[in-house]
Amino acid sequence: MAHDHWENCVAHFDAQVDVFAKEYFSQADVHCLLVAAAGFDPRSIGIATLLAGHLGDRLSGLFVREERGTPDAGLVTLADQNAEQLRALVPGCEIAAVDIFGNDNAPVAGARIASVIRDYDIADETTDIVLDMTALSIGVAFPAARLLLDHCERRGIAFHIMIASNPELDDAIASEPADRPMAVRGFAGTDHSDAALEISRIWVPQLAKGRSAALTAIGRSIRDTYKICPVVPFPARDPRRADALIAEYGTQLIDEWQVDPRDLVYVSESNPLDCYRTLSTLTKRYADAVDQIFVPSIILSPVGSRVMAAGALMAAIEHDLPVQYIETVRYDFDPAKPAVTAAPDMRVHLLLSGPAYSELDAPPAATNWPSAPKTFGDEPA
Amino acid sequence: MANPFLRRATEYIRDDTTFLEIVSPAPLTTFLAEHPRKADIFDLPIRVVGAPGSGKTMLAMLAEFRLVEMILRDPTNDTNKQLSVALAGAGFLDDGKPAVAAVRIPMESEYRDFWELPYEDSVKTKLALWLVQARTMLGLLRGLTNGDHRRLDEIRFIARDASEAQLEQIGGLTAAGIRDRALEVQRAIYSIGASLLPPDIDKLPKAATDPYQPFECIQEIDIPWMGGRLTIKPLAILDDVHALHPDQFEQIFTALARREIKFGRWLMMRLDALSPGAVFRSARSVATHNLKPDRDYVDIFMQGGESRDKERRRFRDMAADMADRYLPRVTAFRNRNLPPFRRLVPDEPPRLSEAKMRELEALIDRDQRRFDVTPARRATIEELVAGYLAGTQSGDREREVSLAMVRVLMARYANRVSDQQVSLFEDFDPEPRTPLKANAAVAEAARLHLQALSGRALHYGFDALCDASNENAELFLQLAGALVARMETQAIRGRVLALPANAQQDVLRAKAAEIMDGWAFPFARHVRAMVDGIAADCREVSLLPHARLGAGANAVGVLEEEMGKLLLANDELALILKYAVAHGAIEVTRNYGQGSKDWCLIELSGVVALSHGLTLRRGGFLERDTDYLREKGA
Repeated sequence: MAHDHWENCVAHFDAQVDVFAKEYFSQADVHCLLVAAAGFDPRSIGIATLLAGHLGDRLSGLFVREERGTPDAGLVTLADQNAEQLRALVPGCEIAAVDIFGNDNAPVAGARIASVIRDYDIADETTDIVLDMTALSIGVAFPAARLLLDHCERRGIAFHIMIASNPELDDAIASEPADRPMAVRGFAGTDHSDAALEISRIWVPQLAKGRSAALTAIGRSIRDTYKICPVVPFPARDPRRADALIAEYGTQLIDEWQVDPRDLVYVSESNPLDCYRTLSTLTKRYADAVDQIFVPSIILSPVGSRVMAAGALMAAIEHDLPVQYIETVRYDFDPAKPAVTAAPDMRVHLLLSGPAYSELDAPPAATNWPSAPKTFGDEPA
Repeated sequence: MANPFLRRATEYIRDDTTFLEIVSPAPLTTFLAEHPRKADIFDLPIRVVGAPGSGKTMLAMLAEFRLVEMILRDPTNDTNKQLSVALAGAGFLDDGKPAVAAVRIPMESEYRDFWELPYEDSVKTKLALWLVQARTMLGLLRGLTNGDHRRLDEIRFIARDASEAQLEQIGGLTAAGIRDRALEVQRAIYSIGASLLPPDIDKLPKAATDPYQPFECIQEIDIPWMGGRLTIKPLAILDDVHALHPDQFEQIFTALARREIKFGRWLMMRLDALSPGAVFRSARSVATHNLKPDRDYVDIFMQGGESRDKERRRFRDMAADMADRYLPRVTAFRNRNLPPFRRLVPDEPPRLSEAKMRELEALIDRDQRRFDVTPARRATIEELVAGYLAGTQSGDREREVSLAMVRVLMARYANRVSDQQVSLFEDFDPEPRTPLKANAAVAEAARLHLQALSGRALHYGFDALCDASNENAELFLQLAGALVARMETQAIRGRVLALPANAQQDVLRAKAAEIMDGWAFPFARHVRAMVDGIAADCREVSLLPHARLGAGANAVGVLEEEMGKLLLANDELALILKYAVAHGAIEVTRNYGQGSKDWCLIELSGVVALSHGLTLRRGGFLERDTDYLREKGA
């Protein structure tokens, strides 16, 4: 489905999010399903608290607990506490455990979350689905977003993405990458096997603190890249964050990836639409530039901030771009560190589909589709 | 400016010409040309097993037909000549013409994803196997038509005897028919694998479920070559098959091991794909139902396949060859007449300054008094040391080594006479019951002590660099790259490029610490804590004045019986050890007999030894147990 309306996507930031939530979700005919993480991340309950305050018993919840082998005991306790709070906020919610790794330690999150969402019975009266990407990993959030967006578009209901972003907190959460880079399930991109022309790949990794080993492994798995265009956050809450990342990735940028400094992509740390529009423009211009010469292929690796990842998600869905990532085996996080509480969360709301766009889209959003399926199992693959 | 040594992975090299300039043909010669089953490597399934960075992908890329053709079409180029000789030795060329058309198929995680589909195992295996075959055929045709050297209609496939009935399913024997059918299969199966919600089994596309077995049908390929015709053997190199689920691998491997198949097939895999038990047994025991190594398939081990001394010697040659190819590509060296890399990291021993030498002499004199060694006994010991140094082949026979050896022997003397009764009326200078001996172990201990006492360099020279790399090409390039970066600075300042021993050690130690800081693999934090703990204990014991472990310790030994139980148990420590081995933090020697006991040695890797100032010589270990490992890795 085309997403031309994303050029004028409805978005709210920080205090505007509260205003929007109050005005929109307080309406009595809004019934909302919240899909979010039930993990150790202290931001896990922020969006749920906001929505529960306005929706009350009109809010249902599907919370995903990402299970990763043998996690730190302290983090398990934090996750348990968050799960309890979510249960209290959204009575009757479902907390689904999703194995991130199979019994051979291969990442299987995409297939497992797809199965969880397919089997979840979304109530008929649901008018809105909110995906809270704050604490979901890419391997779970991206497939979930694609499935839920598809479902909402088929049924003509609204699909929102909400994020409570905190780059300083992200930096304080250390992660241990697994050893198998792979495409995110459902984001393998277009099959170019029958292309008569040579494929010319551009890899667009999102630089993030402490993720150099993960990005190096991802880069090696892609092979034969024509160019590598790293994404750095600018403007950002810390104006030197991009500089710090470039310094941290010095060896990769200069020796391994041999990045031309003109190829750095700057996107806003707080506005996912900036990332989306920049990647969309890059995709279109690159396609025009190599038309009839090469088959263009742009591969995304949004391993850092969820706000930028949300923009990458939109670009990946819009242009069918492959998303290559590496799963995290375990996290290390000390909630007592000063950085964790120093800076407030930046909140973002995006409305990706729904009746609000019916006048922009042609044909209008299919609110009255006679055969709109009610569950994922009814939908064609 | 980019340092080519630090561009670790061949995957980042964007054009074939650059790749050929830097690729070393040594792995072809070492692992293939000299393999005892060389005659069978294109007939039987071959498993090539190695650690990350051991050069598997480089080997596979070099063998691809596209590159072989590029090498053969420009025989005047010196690099190409060397590569041709190596390719011919490994059987890829016959009489200067290609004998094999190889194609490398990266077995990305996409294939593993098929194992998550909600179908029966046999269906999932079939889909993955057919996708591999379809991609192999497409890759093969792309390689054969690369550079417009031949048209598709000039390529003919030759079927295996008695496979006529299967020809229709692969699209016939014409290249166009085979390509079209392969495309159809690939598209159909890709759409299933890439979907978020897979179709029900009865809704699978027909193109994905109809039989498709080109490996079983095709025996050879007939192509035009330099004005004539040439018959070549196809070879599929499946890279990184460790990404498959073990059961999936088992089924695919069994299918590929069918004797009817005349299509060459190699499976490149990493060590850490195996179970902890298998990793500790150097991968010889990957479970294979009803298949016997050497009868049904052949293993090629890129490490641990032969004696350690032989491996070390072989790796030094390969590393020297690689370094000499990379060196001229460093921009700062382009206008210089470069000697071989080996001469830029000389073995010339370091010398202590006069002030440090005086300090050392004073220390030895103090220790002589501390150990109650008479002047006469010291003179005897000095004679022993002088006698050893006069006859040794070692290049490091500096005076400070001699002094430190004397210190070690004085401490040993004191230990050996400590239980003898002291006389009240004459000098106490008894003969020890076990006579003192000056040997290479004492000399090495002396050098280690000198590093701690006077800051004298311990790790320097090309051989030490290679030994610290643990026979891992990628690690060698990283360490050598750090040395080259220092040489670049020398070049820019107009100084000699060769680095003195102390500078080499400084660079290597800093790089080793950086590599360890950058470890990012499963359980890396535990592995780091464990090796740091072991290294600290080894260093403490190594620096005891009497150097009871000779050259020093860089390992701990756990009784085999205990280790065997651990590897069979579902224990996190087993996983930590597995990843430590697979990512080069430790090495394991099984069934090491000492003191009438059977030990499993957990040896610290070269990088850890560099970082902690331990000897690179093998053999010295501390006796410990699994609880110790658990405690250190916590």
